[in-house]
Amino acid sequence: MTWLAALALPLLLLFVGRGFGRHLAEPAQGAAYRALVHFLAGLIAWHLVLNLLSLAGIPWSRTVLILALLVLIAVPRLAFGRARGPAPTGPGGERGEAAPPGALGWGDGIAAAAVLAFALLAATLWITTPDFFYHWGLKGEHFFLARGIDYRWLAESWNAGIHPDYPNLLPELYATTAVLAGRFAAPAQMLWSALFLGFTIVAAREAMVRGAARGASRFAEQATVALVALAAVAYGIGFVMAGGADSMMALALIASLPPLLGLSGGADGPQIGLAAAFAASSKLEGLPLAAFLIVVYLAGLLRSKRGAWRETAIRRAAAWVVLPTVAVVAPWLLAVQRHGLFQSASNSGPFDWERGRVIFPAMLSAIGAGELHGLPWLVALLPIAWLRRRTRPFAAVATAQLLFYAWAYFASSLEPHFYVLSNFARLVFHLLPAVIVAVVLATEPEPTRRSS
Amino acid sequence: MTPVFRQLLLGLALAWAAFAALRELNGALADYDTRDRLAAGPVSWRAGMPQVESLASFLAAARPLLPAGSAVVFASPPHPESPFRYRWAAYLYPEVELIPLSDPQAGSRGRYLLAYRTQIDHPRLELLRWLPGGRLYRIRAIRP
Repeated sequence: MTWLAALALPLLLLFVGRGFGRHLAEPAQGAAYRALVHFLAGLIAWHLVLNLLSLAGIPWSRTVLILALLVLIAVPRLAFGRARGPAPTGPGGERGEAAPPGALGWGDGIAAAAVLAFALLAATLWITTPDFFYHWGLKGEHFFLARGIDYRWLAESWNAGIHPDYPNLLPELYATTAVLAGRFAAPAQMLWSALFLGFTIVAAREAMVRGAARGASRFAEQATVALVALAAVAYGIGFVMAGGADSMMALALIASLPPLLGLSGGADGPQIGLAAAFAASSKLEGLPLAAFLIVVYLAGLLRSKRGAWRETAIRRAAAWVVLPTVAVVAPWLLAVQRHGLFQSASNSGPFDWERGRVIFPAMLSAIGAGELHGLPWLVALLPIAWLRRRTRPFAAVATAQLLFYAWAYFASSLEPHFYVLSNFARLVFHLLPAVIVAVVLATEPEPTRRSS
Repeated sequence: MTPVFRQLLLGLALAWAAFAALRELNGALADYDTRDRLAAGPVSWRAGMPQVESLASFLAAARPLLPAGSAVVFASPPHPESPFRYRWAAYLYPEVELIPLSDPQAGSRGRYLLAYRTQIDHPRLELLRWLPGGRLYRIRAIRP
């Protein structure tokens, strides 16, 4: 039953997202990537409903959750029709034509085998991150037993070390999987990590298949998909990352890559909006990522049609990109303020350049860990993404996020050496899959523009 | 950059990542096979290690004796990594409000005390049961 629930809930959430149909994804996009977009939409909707239920004091019983899922499946279909409506027009005003799916190749096979190996190993709990036991899984268990987000428990003095101020999407997924299953079983919960990894590869594939020039090397496309999968799996096993939220951050960034490359036609605004909201619901670091995604997208929007802010299409696209993040951040911010959960000691402090003497060597030490085999150094190739116009928006987002991580070390009151050693390699992982794809695309010839 | 050179670099990166993935997979499987013989401090514990199993057995023995939701203080041998042992205990026994002994509210909020591989002597403690790996105490209320 636990495995069934862990398989059924993601499928149901994907089905929830499908109700928004072409408002979120274009037929010209790959079926797997469209499924990713719908999955993200389902996750955001689920997160909002669970927060509303907790705010209203309605316990997450199995009946309530099933009813909530049914409502979520029905409402977008009633509101938006049967997914046949016109997609919102993006800044380019482009509409994609149906495109043939990219044929599967050897790289896809390697990626599938790598994800399967990761999933099987993750189910043993041997590569489960300690943070699953310290807080992600602990919160999930507690929310399962409390049948809701227990802010009173999060605010207890002895829970100050479990990041009570973090957004709760992942513990909510664990808790609701357990409610539907009837018990909390950690091995089945690891399926979420495998799913996030699988969708990371889907996004990489979408960017490569649609982003590379027509007639560009099939080898580059397949090798990049395999490279992303193998690098992520090596990282995930070596650095024991199953069960944590870092794979969600990596997914949020790479899911935004196709729309940042301009491959999503009229759906780029909603897709950026969903990726931003997903990041903001996953981890505290997701809040700046969401902000950077939104700012870079809006800047591109304004630059593409200077002085056209009054145009309805532009304003609608801006609303699609901003509203999902506002919707997930508002209840989180309210709860954090109301229950005094914000951890000021680690989150803020005076900016101190002197800390650099400790921070930079610790950064090198963190990414030089033997089990990472130097893979984090691939992120050092990010400047290459600045060289091409089409990868520049992504480069801006990734660079801003990297600078934010550095700033956090300089402006924290925590002892910097162990602070950096404990998390820098994981933070670099957030960027790794997307940077690999962006760098490969930046070195490929520019694609010829498709006529619509 | 010529196409051939691009492909060569990409191929090298792929070979490098494949080596890393296979090596980590092999290492993880080898460690998993010997997990019942691995020893590590709480900060390096993983599911299935004997230290985790021992703590889980201790907490499982206490579970039928304590009302769900009760405030229970957790004590274990002093060690720089003790907070991580407490975190594991909180994960393994989520049905109660597990409070670390070091918390300022432990004395006022706790109704029971679980002493894992340690002995605590205090006039407010009443021994309820010996458990595999430790003891369960009731904490008497503070007299006014």
